[in-house]
Amino acid sequence: MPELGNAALLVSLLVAAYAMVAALLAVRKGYGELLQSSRNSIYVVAAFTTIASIALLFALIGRDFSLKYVAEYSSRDMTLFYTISAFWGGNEGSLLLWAWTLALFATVVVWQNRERHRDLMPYVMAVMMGTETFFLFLLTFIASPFTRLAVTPPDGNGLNPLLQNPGMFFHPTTLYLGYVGFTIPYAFAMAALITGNLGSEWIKSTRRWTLFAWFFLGLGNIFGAQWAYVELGWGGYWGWDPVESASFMPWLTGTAYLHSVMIQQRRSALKVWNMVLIIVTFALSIFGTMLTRSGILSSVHTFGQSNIGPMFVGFLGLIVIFSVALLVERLDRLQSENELDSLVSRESSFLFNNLLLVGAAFATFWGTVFPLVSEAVRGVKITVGPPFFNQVNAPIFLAIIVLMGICPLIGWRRASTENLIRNFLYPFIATMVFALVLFMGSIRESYAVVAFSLCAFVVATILLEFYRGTRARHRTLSEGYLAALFNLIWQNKPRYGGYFVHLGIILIAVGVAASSLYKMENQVTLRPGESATVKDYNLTYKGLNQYPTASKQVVAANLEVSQNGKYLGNMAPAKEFHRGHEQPNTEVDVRTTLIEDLYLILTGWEDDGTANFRLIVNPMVIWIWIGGVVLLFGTVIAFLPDRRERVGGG
Amino acid sequence: MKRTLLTILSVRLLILMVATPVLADGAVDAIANELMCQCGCTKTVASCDCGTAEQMRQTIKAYLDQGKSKEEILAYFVGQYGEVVLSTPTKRGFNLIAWVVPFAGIVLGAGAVYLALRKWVFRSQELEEVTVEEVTDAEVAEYEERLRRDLAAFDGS
Repeated sequence: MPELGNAALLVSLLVAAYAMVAALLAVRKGYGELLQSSRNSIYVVAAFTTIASIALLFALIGRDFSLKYVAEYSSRDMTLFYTISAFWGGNEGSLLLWAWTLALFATVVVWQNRERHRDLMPYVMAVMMGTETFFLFLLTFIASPFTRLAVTPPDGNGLNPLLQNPGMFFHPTTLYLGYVGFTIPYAFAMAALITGNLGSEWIKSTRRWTLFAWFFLGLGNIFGAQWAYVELGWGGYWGWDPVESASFMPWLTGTAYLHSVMIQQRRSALKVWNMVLIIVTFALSIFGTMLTRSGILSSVHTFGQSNIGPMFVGFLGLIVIFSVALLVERLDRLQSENELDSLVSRESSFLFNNLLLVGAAFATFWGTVFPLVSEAVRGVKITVGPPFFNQVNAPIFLAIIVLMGICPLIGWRRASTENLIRNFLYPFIATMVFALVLFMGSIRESYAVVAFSLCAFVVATILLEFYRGTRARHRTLSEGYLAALFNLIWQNKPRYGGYFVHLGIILIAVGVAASSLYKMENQVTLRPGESATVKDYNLTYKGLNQYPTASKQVVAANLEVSQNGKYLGNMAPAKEFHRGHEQPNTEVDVRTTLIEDLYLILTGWEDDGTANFRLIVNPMVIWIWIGGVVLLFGTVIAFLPDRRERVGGG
Repeated sequence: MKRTLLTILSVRLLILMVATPVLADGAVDAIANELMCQCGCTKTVASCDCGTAEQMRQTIKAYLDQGKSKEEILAYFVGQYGEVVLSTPTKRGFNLIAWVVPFAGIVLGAGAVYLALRKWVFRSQELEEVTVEEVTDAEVAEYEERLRRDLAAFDGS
């Protein structure tokens, strides 16, 4: 089977390289048959990368420890679920996942466009296969998952215990769907630049791919946050680890792109800017993969280290040089005679939203690379840690939330004063009342009042939009309110899907703001029978339980939890000592409600049973995950076919 | 209305810029949040629960009990591990660049966006004016006549 895998990778590499060259030759020389051959080659690449992937899965499931990869990332005691997730637990496997996903996406793109975009497609195919060739080259010559060991060990090392969590099944896969997905709009953008076919056609054709990539990148980040929250055991969900930042940056620029292409579609403006955004987003996607997979920066993701860094740097450099050169070459044809009817318009508010989104991505990038800058200029190593990113990004994100409220209410082209008053009066009053209510309650910190009020403002504007639309249908078409609401959404899917996405983001923002600003923590040392409190929770430590399982030794504390005198149950934060791994793994215990999480960490213990705990109350964290679900719902709505597309409208 | 809205927004943003987030309670945590754990985890001392972080927290607590100030305690750790132990760049000297550049970038970008928008609005108004000037009543009458003829021909076909 491994030999088959290796052979499949080699065939895939050769065929992908051929598909790229054939597509380019076909279009230059006008050979229709060669183009068809290139198209078929892409199907072949998909088939052979599938064979290679199945071969790796078989090796993992069949416990073929003669393979270095299988021995390093799996062991006999692992369940089928985690054995499968070992596929992307290490470098080689995750690179194969990249290549396999891209080959499948390329197949779908070629099939979708078999009758369309005859001018663009050869170049789209060449760019996709160029990228595919790079990954297959790495897999074949530098990081093959099918390398054999000289001596077959009786068992493998097993997957890093930190990765043995359901979140790790979904986090890398969704993130990769996002990273790889951005290859498609990028390939179309390059094809548009090469052919000089610079209208909005390529943008329309890639709207769903962009939405798909953007959504999965966001979802990947949320899964990652959820994994960090329950698995890393430090009480938070986002640590601004360089790899986290690296997956967040393309999401930010991708969000900017999703908004700014609307202006190109409606007004044929911002063509250069949109090109820049998709190039940056794709380059950041490769950069994100590179950071995870090369170990250039030290981070909690260092289990992915290897020596493929220079190859990635080279590829990234090639992408940037190739893209920028093409862009400069076409600059004169991209210059659109941008016109705007008014400074106060949807278009201008979108531009500021773009500025802030790109600004946040830049601030994150700047923070990530500043230690290198400092070392180069001053020769002094410094750290740019989580507090920096929080302090710099918080005001930027709040400003983005302001614009999220404002943008949808300002009309396209020109907003009159009456229009502004009509649209903003009620949300503004609602926000002021909300702020007052917060202030009258116990929320006094200016940051919290501002953050929650702004979120309320956005929710008010969105609800107003739904209300107005529903009322209009009810009046003019005599539909019942529920039917009117349903039809309103169904007949304007991109728009109302977008509003749901905004709602999801606001829920996430509320969860982040509340848990950052009102986190409460108590670090205690308790003897069995002693109690401690955090907020209004009382915890009585009953003692330690130690027991072995098939793969690990568990030390769990038993704590009786009550709130305001009412018994809630027992909780058991633990440390797990996995066989073959020196460092124990922290297993937190979390009690979640809609209002707050009680988050318990066992940090250590003595022989006499005395134990150290961190007792944390994290308010409203569950709303981050609920926000993710709303985001999913909104994206699915925006993704569904819309009647306007059939009649060729925007 | 527009001006009021802008004033309110700028006041709010100003509040945001000067306000600092509330950290987890306790003087130890406040200092621990400004120090990076040295176990290689890339977490702050306040977040990490490894032995190194615990030791650093104990040191902070001991110094606080001795009456040392936050600055003195941070200086002690910098002396021990170098500047790399601080969780954020200092807000002075070369490191100030780290803090200023993101906001300077956004302010410059906002200026560029504003100038571009003004140019586009100006261009749009200019085009409107040209259109108004160039079409005379006679031309309008001529177009109307042509439209009438075309419609008549269309109806007749």
